[in-house]
Amino acid sequence: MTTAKIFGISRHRLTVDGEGVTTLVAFNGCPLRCKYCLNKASWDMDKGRDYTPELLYEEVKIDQLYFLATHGGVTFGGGEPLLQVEFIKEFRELCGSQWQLLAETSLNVPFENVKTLDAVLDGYIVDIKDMNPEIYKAYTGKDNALVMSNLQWLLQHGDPNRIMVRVPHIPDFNTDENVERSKERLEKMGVMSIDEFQYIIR
Amino acid sequence: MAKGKQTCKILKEIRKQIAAENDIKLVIEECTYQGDCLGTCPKCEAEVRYLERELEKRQRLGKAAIFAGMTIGTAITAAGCGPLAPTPNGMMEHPRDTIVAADTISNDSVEEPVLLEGDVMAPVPDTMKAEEKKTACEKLELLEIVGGIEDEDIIGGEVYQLVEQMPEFPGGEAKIVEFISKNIHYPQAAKEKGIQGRVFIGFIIEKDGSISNVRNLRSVDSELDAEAMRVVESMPKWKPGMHEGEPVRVSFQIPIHFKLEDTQE
Repeated sequence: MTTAKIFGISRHRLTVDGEGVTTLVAFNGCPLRCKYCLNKASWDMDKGRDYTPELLYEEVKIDQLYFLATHGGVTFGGGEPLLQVEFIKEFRELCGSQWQLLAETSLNVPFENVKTLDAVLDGYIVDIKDMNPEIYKAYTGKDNALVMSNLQWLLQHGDPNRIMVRVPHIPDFNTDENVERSKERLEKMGVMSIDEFQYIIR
Repeated sequence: MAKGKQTCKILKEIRKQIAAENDIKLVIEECTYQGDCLGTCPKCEAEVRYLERELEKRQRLGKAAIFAGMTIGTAITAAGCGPLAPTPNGMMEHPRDTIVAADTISNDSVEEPVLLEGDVMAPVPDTMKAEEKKTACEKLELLEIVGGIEDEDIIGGEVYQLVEQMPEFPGGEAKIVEFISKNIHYPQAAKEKGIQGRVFIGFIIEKDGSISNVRNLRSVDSELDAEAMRVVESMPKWKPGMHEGEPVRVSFQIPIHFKLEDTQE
């Protein structure tokens, strides 16, 4: 039986993380340790609740009418949702093809996960942090080589419009110039949708 | 605008459109509740269930459900785990009506708030450790009131879930919260054991406004369950639901959240 730890479910998100009415499902477990992570609870695998895909489906289908009417669905976040390959695959089998399933991801996961889930997911919101490997490592504690190769593969294997890349200004880690360079590189790679924004630290 | 109002308005428009597209008669009463809400409430949820049933009926007759032209926006703005922009008063804010995810987590065992880009941050108590619970005082929250129930065991004749004029607690929805808060007591034994959770109580509002068929739909603890049922049973008469000019029996469901809070905060 496939299970995953989920630490939050948020209903009725209106065009916040995808088209239409969406429900956000936040998984525990993340390979990164971003300094300004808002959901540090997601790092703790002892927290959250164990869900099966069936249990989650039963819980979120209360909003099916809204999903179908507005081209919405479920956005998987976290934590890192692309670590939950079997769970999301089974969830898709339960919910059918009409719900939009998106992943809010760092893409810092094994290529096999990306490849498998690309057949299941409708789109991605990629938090790229910074394209500069040194800045990325300083901020997240991890290397970004997998991010780059996974993003490149996604861009070359499907509609680039299904991918939105978020490029943050990260205080003390990158500069405006770094952000501009990240955007330029992303555009050269073929990214069609870029969301530049500012991290403001509490 | 109170938290949740914008969400409520948009969801209501979606329901209206679904009804219009599919020739479903849907009478929507204007919500008079002025406080914060979750963007949904019993009436809203009952309308969704009603639309689903009507669409199913049409599908059984070979008519496809129509969802044409319902676009509420396509902007993907955020869903990540990055920090937010603070307002001058220190609260986190985003230029849209947002909800704190913790408010909408639909199961008590999921206790950590999900903080997302653009969410309004509100103080959410940490999950307490067992030893901390021993020094905690009680706090009761009526987080939401959800829609009608379906229960074939209900006695006393036909029960509606959605009617033209839904039953109304004396003074309106806000007064339900006030009534329960004033009258409910945290059972001492449950308090000492640190037991918390959300009890769902179902009941029928009879044609004369009285409460009947009070039953526990989701149990947390026998004492918490019993106290929640006691208070619901003690509610005053409601203004009964009306359908086609006649008073009718209507089912309701109320979650009552028993929550312990650290006295030292």
